Amino acid sequence: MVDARVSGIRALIDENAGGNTDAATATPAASPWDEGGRSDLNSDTRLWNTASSGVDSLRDTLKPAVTKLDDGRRGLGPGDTAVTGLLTGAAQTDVHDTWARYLDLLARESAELSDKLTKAGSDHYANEEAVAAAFRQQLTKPEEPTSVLGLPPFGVHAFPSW
Amino acid sequence: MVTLSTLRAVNPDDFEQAADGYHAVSSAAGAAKDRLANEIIARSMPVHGRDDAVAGLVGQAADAARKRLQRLADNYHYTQVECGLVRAVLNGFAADLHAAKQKLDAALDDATASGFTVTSDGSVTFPSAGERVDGRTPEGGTAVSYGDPAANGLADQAAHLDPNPHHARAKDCADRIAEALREAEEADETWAPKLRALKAQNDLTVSHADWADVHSDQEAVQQGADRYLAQGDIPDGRPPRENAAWWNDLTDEQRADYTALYPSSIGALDGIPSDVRDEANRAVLAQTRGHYETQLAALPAKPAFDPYNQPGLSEDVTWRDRQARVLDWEEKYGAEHDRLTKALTGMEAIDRRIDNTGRNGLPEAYVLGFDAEGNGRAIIANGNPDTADHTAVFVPGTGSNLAKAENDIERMGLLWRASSANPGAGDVATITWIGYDAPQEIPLAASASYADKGAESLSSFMEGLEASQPREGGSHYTTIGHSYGSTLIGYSDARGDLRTDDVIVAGSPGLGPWATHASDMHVPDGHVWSAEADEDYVPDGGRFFHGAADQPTLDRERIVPSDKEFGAHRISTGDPGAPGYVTGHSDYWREESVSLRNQAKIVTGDYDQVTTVDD
Repeated sequence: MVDARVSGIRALIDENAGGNTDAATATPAASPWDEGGRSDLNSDTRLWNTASSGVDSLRDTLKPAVTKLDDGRRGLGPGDTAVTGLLTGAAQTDVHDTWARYLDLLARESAELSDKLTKAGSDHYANEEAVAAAFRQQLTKPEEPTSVLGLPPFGVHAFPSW
Repeated sequence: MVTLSTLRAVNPDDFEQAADGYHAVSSAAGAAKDRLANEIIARSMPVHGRDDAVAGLVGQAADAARKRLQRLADNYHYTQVECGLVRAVLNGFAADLHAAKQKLDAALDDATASGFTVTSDGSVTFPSAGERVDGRTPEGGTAVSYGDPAANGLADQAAHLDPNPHHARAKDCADRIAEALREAEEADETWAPKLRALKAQNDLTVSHADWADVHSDQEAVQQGADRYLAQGDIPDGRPPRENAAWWNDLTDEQRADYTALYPSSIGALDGIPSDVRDEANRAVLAQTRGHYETQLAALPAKPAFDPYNQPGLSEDVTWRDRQARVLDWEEKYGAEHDRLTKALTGMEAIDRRIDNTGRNGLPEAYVLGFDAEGNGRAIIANGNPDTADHTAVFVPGTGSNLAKAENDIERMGLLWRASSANPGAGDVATITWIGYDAPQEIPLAASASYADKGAESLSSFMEGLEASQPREGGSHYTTIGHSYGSTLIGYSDARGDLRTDDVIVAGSPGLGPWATHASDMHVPDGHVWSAEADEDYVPDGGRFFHGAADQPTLDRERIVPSDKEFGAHRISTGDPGAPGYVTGHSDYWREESVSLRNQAKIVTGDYDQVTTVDD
């Protein structure tokens, strides 16, 4: 893990330093910003896509852990003695459910971000302001607790906005 | 109530396996948080090149995206810390449950071996036995353990007086069974509420209040955990090699649980790996910040003092009344408000550094030390010293504390960039070490007591860096002192246990009474460097207090390391009118300065490229 970090940062440094040693004497190697005042669109796209696939790959980091969390329910299911006979066992089933729910929320948020990052690197949004607005917009929402009837709690989306 | 059948049926391993699941989540969340900060966000950060050119993603869209990603990282950090606590709770409960079960099983085995029957309520039935009394064998019966000590005492007496020898033994079994059940119940009642407090939130905001909750959750868990993993077992004030040995002997599980339960103690241990210290200190930092922010928010607001009456206010409230209110507030809350805001300023600076990873090439940050109490402690590394080829440690001077950490942190960022740019530099780590109580004002800086007290901490820290290097040969170390910080280095060196390859002192008022020449120091010959910029008056102003002399003598004859006679290499700080020239006491780390570049050359061992004043 450390190696990945270090090599990632080093790659960034190497790219930016362009092999320069002393500022006064070196000639800069061809680098993304030599074309003028701003980085060109291609390198921006590349950066957006890199960010997007980075967020995607977080799923690979979390998934095995979520599986292991689920494995931890062995012997601690709703009908097991550890749950019916021990307060701590009962607490564990409740606490477990909250973490499963929260990690699912984070996974959904990651998916939303990954999608928007990809779109930001493509022609999807009209302009920069639209991209910023997309990131400010929160699509992923926590699960709402449902009422007995299975309907959302009264007051949520119950009235259209005028 | 924990019943006999429950305690017989449950398996503590199930709780341990559940704990493992939370540990996996905690580790993965930590990895996700680090990847977001050090790779995903970092790679998108703007890097300013020549001619106003910028690489990386800039603009409001990029900022909005990074903000969302940062929030995701915060969520993973929260997950890392909370799940670490859940794991510790489940392990702690499993340990207690296991102990109770062992006790129960031993009692049940004894009962069975004696031919007794244990009923579902824990009472123990025994057969008739013993010498005949009045021609009849004493009857069997049932031994019951009573919760009430007085009643149980009487029952004990009766059991021992019974001519049936089984009775006493059966009573003993019953008592041990009851004790096992009570222990299980006590553990269950202690741990269950602590576990419930560790429910996950159900939203994407990790607020100050959330972190403050983690803080109090952790305290609650610590209270129950002493039997499972005692804080007292963590070495305190021991040499780094002992800390390293202790850490090495722990199992992975113990390491994870110690870090989750006692992050302040673990984070302060010189000699253990930097990534462990970082994880522990970041947990402390986040919790402390949440805690302090909520405390600050709870203070009543300072009354506004406007000497002129506002329209609509009663004429009876004079400016004197308003002033009195302000003074009253100052008396009641002023000190607390001051303490909290100062500490928070420092914490914000550290968080900003962490968030800025990648910006202009800044490497990953490691929080090697953090404490908000008193003057505070902040030890922040750029790059990992455990794996670096070259490591520099910076000791700031008078007035340094947690609240003012920003400037000192920035200086080491600049030194990192300058050093890393040297060809063949390899991996570099630069560390801001606010690890001692510095004198807070100039008059106090005349006293050697701060250097004396802090010397051991610096020695320990440098030794700890060495101890946590995983490879032979290790890093090349440079210790840099500014102003009073250089005096502290002098005191450390005089102890004989300062492990460093090079020493740089800038604006030094003296290294203490022992070194009248560089060769008096324990640092290898030729590896002592000093810098005194034009118009830096500290060396002359301070030499009477901290300079050295062979005999007590007039202040003019006391030696400081930027004097020629001292024999250190005297680094150039530039020429007037030429680029990179700095003056005064505080500009030695100015970007692109001759002074900074020279220090960077020393840090990477490029000694022949250093420009000195005595050429």
